[in-house]
Amino acid sequence: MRNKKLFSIFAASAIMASTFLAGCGNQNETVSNNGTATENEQGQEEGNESGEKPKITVSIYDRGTLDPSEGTMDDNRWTKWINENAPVEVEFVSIPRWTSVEKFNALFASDSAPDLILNWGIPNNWVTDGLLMPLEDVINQYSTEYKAIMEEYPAMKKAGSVDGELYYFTALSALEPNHTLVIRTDWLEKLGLEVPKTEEEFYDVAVAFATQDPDGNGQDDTFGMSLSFVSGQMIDQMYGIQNDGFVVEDGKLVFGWDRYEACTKMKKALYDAGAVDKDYAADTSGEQSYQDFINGKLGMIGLNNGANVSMRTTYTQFKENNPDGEFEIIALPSTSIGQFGGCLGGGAAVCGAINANCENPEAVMKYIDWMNSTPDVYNTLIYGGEEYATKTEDGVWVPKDEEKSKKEVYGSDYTMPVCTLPIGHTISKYFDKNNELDAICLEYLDQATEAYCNEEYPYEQGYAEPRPALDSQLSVILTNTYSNAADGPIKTNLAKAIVGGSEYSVEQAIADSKKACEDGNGQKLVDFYTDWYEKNKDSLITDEERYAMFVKE
Amino acid sequence: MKQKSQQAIAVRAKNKHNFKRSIPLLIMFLPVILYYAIFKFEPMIGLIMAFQNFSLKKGFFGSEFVGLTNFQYIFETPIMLQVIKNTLVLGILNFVITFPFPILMALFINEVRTMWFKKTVQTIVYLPHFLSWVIVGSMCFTIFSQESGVVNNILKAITGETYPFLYKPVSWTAIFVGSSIWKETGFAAIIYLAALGGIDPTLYEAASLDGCSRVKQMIHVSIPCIAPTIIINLILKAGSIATVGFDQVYNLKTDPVMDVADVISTWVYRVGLQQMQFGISTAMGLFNSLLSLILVFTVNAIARKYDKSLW
Repeated sequence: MRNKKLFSIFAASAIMASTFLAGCGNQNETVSNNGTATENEQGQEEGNESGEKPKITVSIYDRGTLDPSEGTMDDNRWTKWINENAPVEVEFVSIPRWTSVEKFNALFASDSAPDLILNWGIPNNWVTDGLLMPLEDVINQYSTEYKAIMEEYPAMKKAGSVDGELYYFTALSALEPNHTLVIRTDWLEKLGLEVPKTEEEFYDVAVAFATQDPDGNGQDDTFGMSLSFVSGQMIDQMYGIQNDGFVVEDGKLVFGWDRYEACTKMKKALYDAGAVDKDYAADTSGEQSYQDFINGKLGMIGLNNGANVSMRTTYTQFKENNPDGEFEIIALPSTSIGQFGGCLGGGAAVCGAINANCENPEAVMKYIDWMNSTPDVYNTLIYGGEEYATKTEDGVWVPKDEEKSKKEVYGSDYTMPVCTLPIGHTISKYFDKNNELDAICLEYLDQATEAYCNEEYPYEQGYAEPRPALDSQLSVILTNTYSNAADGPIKTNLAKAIVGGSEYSVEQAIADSKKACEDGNGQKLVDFYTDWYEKNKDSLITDEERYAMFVKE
Repeated sequence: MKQKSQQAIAVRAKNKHNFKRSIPLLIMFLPVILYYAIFKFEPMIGLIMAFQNFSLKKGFFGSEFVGLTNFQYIFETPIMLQVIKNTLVLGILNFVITFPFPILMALFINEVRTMWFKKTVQTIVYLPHFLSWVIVGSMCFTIFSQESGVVNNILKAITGETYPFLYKPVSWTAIFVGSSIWKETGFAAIIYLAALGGIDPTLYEAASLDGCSRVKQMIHVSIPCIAPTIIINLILKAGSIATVGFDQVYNLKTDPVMDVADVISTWVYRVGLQQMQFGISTAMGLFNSLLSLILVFTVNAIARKYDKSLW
């Protein structure tokens, strides 16, 4: 009896232990099984004629949106298609999209980061830590396609360099509108106002929209503008603030205190006048302001991706709720600081790098060259190719079966290293002018292009500017002082000023912020930036190089 | 002599027998030891990063040692001191104010004699514990917002003015503490209810024979009986003063109150995970843990004075 009991205890612990061990073991097995499976398939499909393809590992975003019946992001119909057609054998490594940097850090720490790291934006720390391979020689020795594109567009090399040394691949796409400022033209007409051209007019219109009942329902339930997310950022852009707040003035890289002061005064004025939703600080994603806009409660809004395919949804939803409503995309009003072009999308965007431990950079380069060798790769992965879509005479791919394409065509993240400008892909290629809704979207795209892709407006801060790599001390100083992306003292003080009424003025906020930066040893960072700019200003992207990336008619 | 050595042999034999007998128990204990070794103690090796200028490429053993430089920076920079101060203020307020609520709730629920009512209340009050802070955070924003919040609607009806509850440090802190109470009280009350359930009913009978009212029974029987549980909880909770929950702050914060809402955990997230400054953020984390340890020992030492200490 007793023995029996003992035995069962033994058995229980043995089972527990074995499941535990098996749990570990199985995982390894699956990996190796997968490996052999791909090899077998390769063998079958390729036969023995082409010989062995070199093997590389490449990262791929997992957005968690893939239909489970399609497999996984590292093993599905498109990874198979790539492996069938590419000159190399690719093993994909899934990376969660919204925590990609954290995941890459973990992979680096465990020495298992992929050969080709693809991420929109690469932290400079990886360069300082020696985790990445310098690309100059790799490209010169092994590349043909990518090298040719890079020679034609010098912005690519400049954008991909850290302190003069090339480390990042850039995906070159046309420099096109991203953030757009949208205004209710029917409200303007009703109140007898003009499209605002200056900051004073902008303020007046916003206040009028909020107080003069433009929707005519007799209630005080409208707002003129919003301060949340992109709407707030567009007010920053009106005053020439983008990215990290450092701007070039008189040939020097300085922090734009006067811009922040002017910009915050405008925001505070709008807040005090009741022209904006006072709960903007709780609306960090801008979702509330978007809802207000499509429900006809908001007169002006800044839209993210505001002239892209999302315009289809915006326009449809807006028209459903406001059948008589009209809106237009307008240029940013001029301010005391100047007239600015706003945040654009595309250009030479940093998209990837090679792991310093990569054994076969030649194969990685071959893979990138292959991606850029013919538009077919791009068209197949984006639209599913001719099996899924038909090409119109304007070069627009129209899906044959929208539902089917939605589920089965998801290859866009595989095309990250593709330069779309040379193959003539622009936003307009998403819209079929024979389709009523698409034709309207094309009109909005034209409005946005005219308003923002204009050589008359300065673009010095048009998109992510190269910045020097910082050592750990300077990085921490940046976070504690000038960083406006994180919740640093500047962001907090300015926010306090906006909502602070008469108790806390903008001047006071700026003074407090300056003091906080000083206390946090911020001068050290400013000196470093100033010095770096002085030494590197000639190797930064010039306006001419930038305008070369606009869409040419 | 002989007897003694015989005794010793007997003891040894008994020990051996005991050990043999407990082998199965030890085997069952093994996974727990492994769990602690692998998931709790092994990661502590990473603490050496606090004394390094850590580089991912070079790893734990290759990175350059910088002594106490990271700590020096922490204690010399005003913004860091502000962050530490915020952590302590929010932590202590949260601790002191929320602590009595579960006890009160347990005592009240315990007094309810209608079984179905008791059970229903118990279930309802501990449900919020299972909501994530993301949900609780957006609920707070909805309730206290200026344009459409319930509270401000009432306020506007009475005074004609709204108040930016979410933007003012004092009212924000109140919302912060209040949300902790709302979310955790019911769940924390469970342990006290269990303790109350274990009280010998004869004590109540004796008390009522001696003429104790219900209130007096609560004060003189219930509370002394659950006092050990209260002390244990007090000591355990003291450890969490310095670790103000990241989720709670992150989901309740608004830009204008960041100078009181920025705590160690949010700072470590920003600098460690987003900026990849592992050395200094580990130093901050280590300091945070030390602070927790000190607090636990202090509270225990105070409890010992009243003979109620945990160890």
